[in-house]
Amino acid sequence: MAESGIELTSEKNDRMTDEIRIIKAARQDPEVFGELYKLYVEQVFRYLYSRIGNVHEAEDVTAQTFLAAFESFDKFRQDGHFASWLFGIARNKAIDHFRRRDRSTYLDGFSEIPAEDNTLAGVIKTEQAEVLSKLIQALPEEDRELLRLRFLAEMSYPEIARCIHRNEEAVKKTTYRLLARLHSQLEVSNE
Amino acid sequence: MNEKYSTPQFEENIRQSFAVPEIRPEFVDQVYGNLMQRAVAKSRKHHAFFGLRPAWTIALAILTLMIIGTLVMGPQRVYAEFLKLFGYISGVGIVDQSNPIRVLAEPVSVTRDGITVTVTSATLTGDRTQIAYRIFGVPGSAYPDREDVVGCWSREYLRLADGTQLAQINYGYEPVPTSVNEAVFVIPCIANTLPGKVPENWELPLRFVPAPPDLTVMPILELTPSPLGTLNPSATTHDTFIPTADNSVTVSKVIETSDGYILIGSFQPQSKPGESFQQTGAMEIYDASGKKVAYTYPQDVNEAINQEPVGTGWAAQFKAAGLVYPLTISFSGAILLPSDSDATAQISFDAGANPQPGQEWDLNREIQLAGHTLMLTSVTANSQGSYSFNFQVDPKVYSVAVQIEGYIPNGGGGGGGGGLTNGKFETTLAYAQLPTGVLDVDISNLVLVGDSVIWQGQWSPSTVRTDLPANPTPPTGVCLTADSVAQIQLAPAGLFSGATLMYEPLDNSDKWGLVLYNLDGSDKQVLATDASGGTFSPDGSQMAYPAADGIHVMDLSTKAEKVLPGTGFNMHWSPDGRQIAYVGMSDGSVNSVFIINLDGTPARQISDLSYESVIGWSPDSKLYFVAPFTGGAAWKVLSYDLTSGTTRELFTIENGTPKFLNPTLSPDGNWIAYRGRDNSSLYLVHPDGNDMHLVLDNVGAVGIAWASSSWLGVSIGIEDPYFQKTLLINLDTCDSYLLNGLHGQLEGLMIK
Repeated sequence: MAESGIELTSEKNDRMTDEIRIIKAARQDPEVFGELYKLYVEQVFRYLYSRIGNVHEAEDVTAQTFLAAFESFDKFRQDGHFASWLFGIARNKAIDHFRRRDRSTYLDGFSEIPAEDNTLAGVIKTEQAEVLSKLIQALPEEDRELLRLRFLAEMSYPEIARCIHRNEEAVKKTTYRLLARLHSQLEVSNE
Repeated sequence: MNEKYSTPQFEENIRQSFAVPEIRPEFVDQVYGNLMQRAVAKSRKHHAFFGLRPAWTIALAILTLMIIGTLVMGPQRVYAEFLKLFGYISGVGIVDQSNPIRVLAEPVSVTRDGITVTVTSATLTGDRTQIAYRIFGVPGSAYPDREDVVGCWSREYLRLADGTQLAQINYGYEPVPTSVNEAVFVIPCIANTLPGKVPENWELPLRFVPAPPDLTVMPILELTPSPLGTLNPSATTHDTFIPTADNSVTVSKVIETSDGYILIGSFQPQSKPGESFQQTGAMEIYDASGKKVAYTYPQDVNEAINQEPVGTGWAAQFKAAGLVYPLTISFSGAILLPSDSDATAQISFDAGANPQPGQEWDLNREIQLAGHTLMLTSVTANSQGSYSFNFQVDPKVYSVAVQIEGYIPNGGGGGGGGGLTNGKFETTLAYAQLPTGVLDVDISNLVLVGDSVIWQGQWSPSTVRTDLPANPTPPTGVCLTADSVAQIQLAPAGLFSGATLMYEPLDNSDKWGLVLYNLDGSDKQVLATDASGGTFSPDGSQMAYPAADGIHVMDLSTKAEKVLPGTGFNMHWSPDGRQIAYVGMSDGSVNSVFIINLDGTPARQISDLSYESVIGWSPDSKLYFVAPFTGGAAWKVLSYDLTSGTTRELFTIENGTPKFLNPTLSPDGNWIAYRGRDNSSLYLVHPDGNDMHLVLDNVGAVGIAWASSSWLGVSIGIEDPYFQKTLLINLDTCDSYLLNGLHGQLEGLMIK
């Protein structure tokens, strides 16, 4: 049955792309770096927004992260750990951002991006997410960072471990403990 | 290691809780263009991108076939054939149909030491294996009683006869090969239980069979882009309308269900350069006659929502009988406008040498920024090494950026809200170490609230369904539906006499509390601030509510309070008013049922399951309560006989919400009312499990309180979850009345 009305045809992003082969191809052809950018731009933005809390500034730092990654890509040699390397750059850029916090300095060519924060916050935000939000706000920064890397940056445990220079098992255990605690607190909140 | 609590839904809620907006495509394109310019400058050499993995090869092969097929057969037919690969199974979601679908031959249970693990269903498709299982009977004492202690974590898996292990993947487990019809489901340990407390290494042998012919796999219709129509502003109830002739609201997939549709789409507001937006309300759907369409959120299509290529995914499931097309899907919000980005202001305050969590500095400093006046009312130190800056602003101000000079925050958030949240907002900055002493605070980046906007899209099926009635009639036993609830009249003066206990926002305050009203909305009395979970004594002369220092019992005539020892919630008075049952936690029991005498003698624990809820006391000295299954949204109803001290398992509620069941027993002990799986409907069932039926269909039911065995009070949020209405419904006749002026969550009800 054909349908009338609105819509966009979904062109699904194939997340099964072989990252290592793209990396190798990008070494041969710099334009292929664009494929890595497409793979990771959303996660990097989500991660940075969750740290910075402002769309304009998160976009700015996201752009800086990818431009820095592109410029230093020749030096990147750990093909199996691109995400750890990229988010390491993003973390450093976020720290730089907080250190400088000079909002009048934006990258050339990015002057027309909207300046605002919290846009669309709450879109289809569930009742559970509202409660979770408060619980997560109350977590120590280290724990929040783990949740960001795991659920916004969508990194694997080995990637997180490499990125934050911690033991993989410790990262796993801490994350599971966090999830269990949140789950438990959520159950209580729901009563 | 097990990520038991990391279900897709839970993960999604964690993502949502960070409230990260969708990335703007214009930004993505802009940076991509910049990168490509640099790439071209770096090397003019173009290399073919080859060496693809099989997955890419298959994708490209399908694409190639589609292109060839399109040329030969025409686009629509090819697309239809392609979409046949996917189908929708209710409760399972969107599945790959490239292989024949198989299911579990029969549920499998294993019981050890009073704990039962049951695999209730399995669905095997080409892309994954979905296993539904649940556990009942784990004592609360098996779980850690401290948050910093972690129980067992091991990942479940499927083991095939040749030893192959199929691990968890997104939304299920790896697919079982089509030639394999048996597997063992292995649970190394029950999530988060302590070593030695409960049996480990659970193995459940599963057998798979072809899906029965009556398994309904609905086709998924994927839409192609088409322009939006311009809509008449008067079609909405909002005061301002700016036509948005763009693709801000789109529908990408349509699934026909037995009684209506599931629509899946995305919301991506288009804004002018320099502008952004803030959504201010939930999505609304109206039909062409102006009727608001009640919908629910179909959680089984989460994966499809997350795969929406642009914007923020949304989904809605609704009944279609009687609808007039097209449907209009609306999101409301406000445009946000940046102001002078160079404008800054500075204030300073002395945090002292040793600021303490909870400490607050009342500043009340007036700040001029980019032509607007802001008031920094106070700064608060929080327990997690952060400062919150609390602002009062004029309605046009949305947010500002804040930083403390010389200190680098490692996190933060908040901000926006002025004009959308009554002229107040707070911004929090977190630090590894809380800055001390005299602090200089820079304030900049003022953002203003612009016009209100409604983003809309329209959808209609090309073919009107003939299998649905033009004028829907509610099923037998249903008293109210989302449509009929809007027609309910106010209770005539004098019809009812009595009192209600509401949990609601307090006037002139940011706080909520317990408020007493007459049934006609008169004689409002705030009983307790920052308190919830109140309940009337059987004669209505007292109220009990939980607090940090114990269970408070208030005499409603004198307002005198006494405090009973014990902490908990979910209070229920015994019929004689001498005891209160509640859900508490002590000695390793995670939220089990306790009973305390009002004379203050120590509470006694009468169950040892976890995360329980009290249903109520029956006149024949039975206390009913529910305990949830671990995994699976089901609750087991149990009764405790106060005379014999024995507990009986009665039946299982399969269609209740896993979030806030709110089960409540009628005074005569004949009915249990509870909230349905959709978090919106209300069901009744006898305490023996018989005659379970729907009474309120998708009305946004939240608070439930019985006034008598015939009259049930319910607070509903179908129109506005934050401004609920309170109804009285006679369950014998379905006569229903709206109670005047009661807009919180109903917690107690007395009819004299």
